[in-house]
Amino acid sequence: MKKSKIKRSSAAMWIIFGFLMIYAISLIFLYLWAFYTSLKSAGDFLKDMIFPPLPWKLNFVNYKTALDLFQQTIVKSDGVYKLGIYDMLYNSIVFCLLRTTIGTFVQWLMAYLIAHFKWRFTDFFYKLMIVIMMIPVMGTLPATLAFWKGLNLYDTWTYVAISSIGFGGFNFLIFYSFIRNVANDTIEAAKIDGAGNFSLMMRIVFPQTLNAFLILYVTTFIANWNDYMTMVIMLPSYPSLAYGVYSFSVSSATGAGLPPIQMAGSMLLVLPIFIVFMIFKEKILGGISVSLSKI
Amino acid sequence: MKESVKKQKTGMTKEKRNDILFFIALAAIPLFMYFIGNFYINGSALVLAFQTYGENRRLVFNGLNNFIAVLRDLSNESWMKETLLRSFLIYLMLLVFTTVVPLITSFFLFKRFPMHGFFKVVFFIPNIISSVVTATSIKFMADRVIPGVALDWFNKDLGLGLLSENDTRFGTMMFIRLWFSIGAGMLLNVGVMNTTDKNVVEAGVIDGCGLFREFWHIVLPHCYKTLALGFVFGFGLIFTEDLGLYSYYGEAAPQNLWTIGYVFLVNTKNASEYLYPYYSAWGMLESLIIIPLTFIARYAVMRFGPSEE
Repeated sequence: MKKSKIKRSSAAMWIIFGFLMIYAISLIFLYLWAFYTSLKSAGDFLKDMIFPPLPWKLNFVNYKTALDLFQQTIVKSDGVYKLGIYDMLYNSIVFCLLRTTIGTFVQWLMAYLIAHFKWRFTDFFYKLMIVIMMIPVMGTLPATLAFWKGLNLYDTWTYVAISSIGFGGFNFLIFYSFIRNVANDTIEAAKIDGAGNFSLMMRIVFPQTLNAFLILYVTTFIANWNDYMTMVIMLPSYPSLAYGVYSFSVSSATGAGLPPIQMAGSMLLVLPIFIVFMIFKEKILGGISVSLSKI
Repeated sequence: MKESVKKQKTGMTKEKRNDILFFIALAAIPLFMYFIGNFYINGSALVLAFQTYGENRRLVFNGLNNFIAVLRDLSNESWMKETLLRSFLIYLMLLVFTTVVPLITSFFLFKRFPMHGFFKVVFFIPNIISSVVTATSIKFMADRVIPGVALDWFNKDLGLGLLSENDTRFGTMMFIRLWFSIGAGMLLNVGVMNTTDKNVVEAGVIDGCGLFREFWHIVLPHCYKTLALGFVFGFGLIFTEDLGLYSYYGEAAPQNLWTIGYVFLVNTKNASEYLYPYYSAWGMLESLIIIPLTFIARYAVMRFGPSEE
């Protein structure tokens, strides 16, 4: 007879359970504290840095202050520009859409082409990719900077679009394994019915891998939304919201150093993506586990 | 008949030719970009390491001088030696901790212990929240809240705060880095564990196999090869790990926290083009250490790992 999980669990497992609970509480506490602090006045924060002084009321003034202070000064060859939160929001959206849409689609497309056309070249190329993935070439940043500066594409949206046409890595492997699992019979039947290469790809295979595509699209979008290093290194004239929060967090502007205002600024970046995650959490978490087990 | 004649002329059927044209039309640009990213830029980095800027900003051959300059700085500058040692130390701590703890966490979730769904969601949250936001929150916690609480509740003076005081900042940064790695790789680990043969697990349970033995003798050997690859590819962290310093301190991190990855990033970002050859040589020296280590480790883990039998 099958023993229950509780009966099989040892004291050690309950110790691990306790440890994980502490870890989970620490994470929840940290982010909840950040949100909570963003609603406090500076005076209330100084009175009690963790718990709210009573009576406690919501204070959205910090958000307004953060919006006002959320500015970036950009020096370009043709002048000095001041960018506010809406400019940064625009940059974030353009950056995420370009990077995520082009990047995810190219990954899927190349996975399809390499998995579907079983030629000597595609077989060789797939093996070559795996070998290249294993070779950790370090310190290529100077050459990368020199390359894009040499093309006069450094610090432009064109750089973002072109550099997104890359493939390889984890997402490619997930797509590759999904596409390999599409039943051959379905493809053969579509071919007999006269489906051409394009309709075979978009009408037969793409819908069958749509779930994986959407999951990777959303997770890549989240990663790009939070990415500020690309702006620091490659795109300094187009600060995104994430870059704005980074800059805001090290800012010495009047008021910006106060924790409630800093937390309010941070929440402006977190809240939209957090809501998206909470809506799609089952799909994202469940889907990723399934995708990974297919590799 | 016509088709076979056509095949004889060109050596391929119409269908095959269409396939090739379709492939070329769609794959040409991505393949071109792949070769740029993986061959041209890596090749340029290698060539740049042997060059220097001469007259009229033209690159000229410079022999091994860039490499000599990097090695000279490494042996003469005491801060570089300390930074290198610190980077190794951080790597070792990360290796030990992140090999063991996330695996146990994942096994717990894999076995669907109480509240596993809740844990899964909570542990994934740091992946969706910007590292800058996490860093900003932790900075205030460590430098304002914890010292305040320590003083009020325990009458203990923590000075300027855990991340600002010289004595406590490295320990605090290391703790934060390790703490946030507990849930790292959770989805990958659970995904791989889910492919364990359920019949083998059932047989183990019938034979009286406890959870620890199930983990050690069934799940771990099954996942070993996939999980070992994380260790193999992790060597690069020696030279790329920055402890999240950029998120916490921007470019003004205290020197006693610097890692090689952080120094390389900040210096390269701010360097004029004249220093690119120097930093390329720096990167190539790192590759010279990491590439053989990676291949030796890969051979070793594949050769000597546990068997699923």
